[in-house]
Amino acid sequence: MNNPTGTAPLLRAEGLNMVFGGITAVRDLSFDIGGGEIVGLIGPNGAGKTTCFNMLTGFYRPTEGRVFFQGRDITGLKPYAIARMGVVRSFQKTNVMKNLNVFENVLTGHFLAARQSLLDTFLPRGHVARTERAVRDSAAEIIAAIGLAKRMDAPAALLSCGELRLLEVAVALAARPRLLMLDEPAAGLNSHEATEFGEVLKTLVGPHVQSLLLVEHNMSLVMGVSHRVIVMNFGEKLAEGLPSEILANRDVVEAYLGKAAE
Amino acid sequence: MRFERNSLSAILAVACLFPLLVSDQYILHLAIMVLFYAVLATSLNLIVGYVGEFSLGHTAFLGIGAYAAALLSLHLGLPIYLTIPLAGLIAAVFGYLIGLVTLKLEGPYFVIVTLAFAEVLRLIANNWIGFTNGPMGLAGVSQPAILSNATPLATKQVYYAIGLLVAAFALYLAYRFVHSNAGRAAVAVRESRYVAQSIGVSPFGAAMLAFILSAGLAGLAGGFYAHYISFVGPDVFQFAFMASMIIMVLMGGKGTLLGPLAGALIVTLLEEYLREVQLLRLTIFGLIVMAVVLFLPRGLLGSLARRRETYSGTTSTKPAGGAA
Repeated sequence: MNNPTGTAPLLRAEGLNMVFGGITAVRDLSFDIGGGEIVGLIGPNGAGKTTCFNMLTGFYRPTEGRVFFQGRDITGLKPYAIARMGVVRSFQKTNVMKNLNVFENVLTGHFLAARQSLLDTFLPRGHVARTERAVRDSAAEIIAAIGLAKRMDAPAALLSCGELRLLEVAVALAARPRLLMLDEPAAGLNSHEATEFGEVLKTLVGPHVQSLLLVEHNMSLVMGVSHRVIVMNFGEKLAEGLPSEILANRDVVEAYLGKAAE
Repeated sequence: MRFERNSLSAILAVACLFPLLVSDQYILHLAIMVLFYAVLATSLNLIVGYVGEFSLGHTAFLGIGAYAAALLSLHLGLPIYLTIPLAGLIAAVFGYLIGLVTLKLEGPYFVIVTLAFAEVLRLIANNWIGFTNGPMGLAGVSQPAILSNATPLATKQVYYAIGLLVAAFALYLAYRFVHSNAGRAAVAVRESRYVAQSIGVSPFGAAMLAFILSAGLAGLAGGFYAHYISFVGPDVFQFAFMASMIIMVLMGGKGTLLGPLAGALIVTLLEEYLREVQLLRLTIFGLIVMAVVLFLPRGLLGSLARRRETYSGTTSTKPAGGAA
């Protein structure tokens, strides 16, 4: 936004602070996410990653600092308003619509694409049926792209852990985000599933979403997928750089493994 | 979606033929009450089954509709074809106002506050003598003009036709809502408020639309009731109506359009035929309800009528597939 060349980042966080009572969960966090990027956000448990997610998506209002999306200030907007602008997230604790099947979940995810006037809800005209068909086709395409085609008609309650994580991503994709934010999408997956999941994620950027922000503990997944990695520790940004730089960073290793005895 | 549409059409056809086959006043009276309760149960189901909140104050809208129709008819002399729609509209407006307060709440808070609204309205109806005539109620709600010289049987037949019209209209609106994008949004709110918000649904907005529609339908039912019984007293706010509605929705199967209809039929008939055992009536009733909740938690039609949407089920649909 204050970039004269016009290549404003897709999302910019400026000096985010989040204070709960006397505890500062996130302190002075700033970063950018550019178009076409996959950014990994890592850090030990309690580092403030999910708090950061909640601030970016409007579930929390930052105590201080601002969030800009495509140059517009979105700080403090309601979560659904932020989703309508194109920032869609998944949740750390698996969160799908359990009583619906896979197709219904993803169809419901098309809420924004299928919005219609009150009159069209009760007296639908031709274009409503066309939209409806389009979103149904789109739902089927997304399910196929994410690799759940075989489970299309299965109730979400019967899916395996790995399938549920995929379904979450499919529902998020259905909202047609520009920036997709995934909170520990590979939690509960074994290493083989996680690798496959990473391959799926890579295919999303470009055709489905502009950029991806990923919170993840599975290092091989994050390092294999991300173009850039941000490390948080105790609520602050500890390091930022290419995956190879992060892996070689002494501070990061210390944060994860502790200090070596001198 | 198609299953529900076909079933509803079939039920409508049977309901249209019914008065041609039956000419017993008592049976027709029961059928009229079934239609009345079908509208009420459908209305409550929109909140309980689709938005996923439990309203204990739905009699508020029934009562507002009944009083609205009675007052419009007594004071302004409006005919029945105006009073019933206006009763629905007025109840819908109250739905919006009450929704502004209650839909900010969830779970038990929502239950308590909706209950409180119904109770406040009951007290107003009881005590604002100048407007509502207090406990004496409003008697002599006008009858349709064509009934001035009609036989009791013809009166029942006409009310059956009006009731059927109201029920068909209510089910049409409910069907359209449930199978629209707005209905899916309401279900998303029921399933997970977090997911709903992250796909761009405003939980408050989605619930509000369902709440207004639900209040409007209950108001229509109330308006119909006022004319049919031709008397409206504070009793319309009583909890007994609420209990019947809840039992119908839960017994039939919440979250389906057919369930509440089945519930309305069964409960109305049970209430009537259990009169023979007098004091035991409510006890037996309670036991039946407990059995349903324990053994059929999704309701009698819960699994049958809850047909899932499938992609394959829609590809063959031509663009005109949305027509009822």
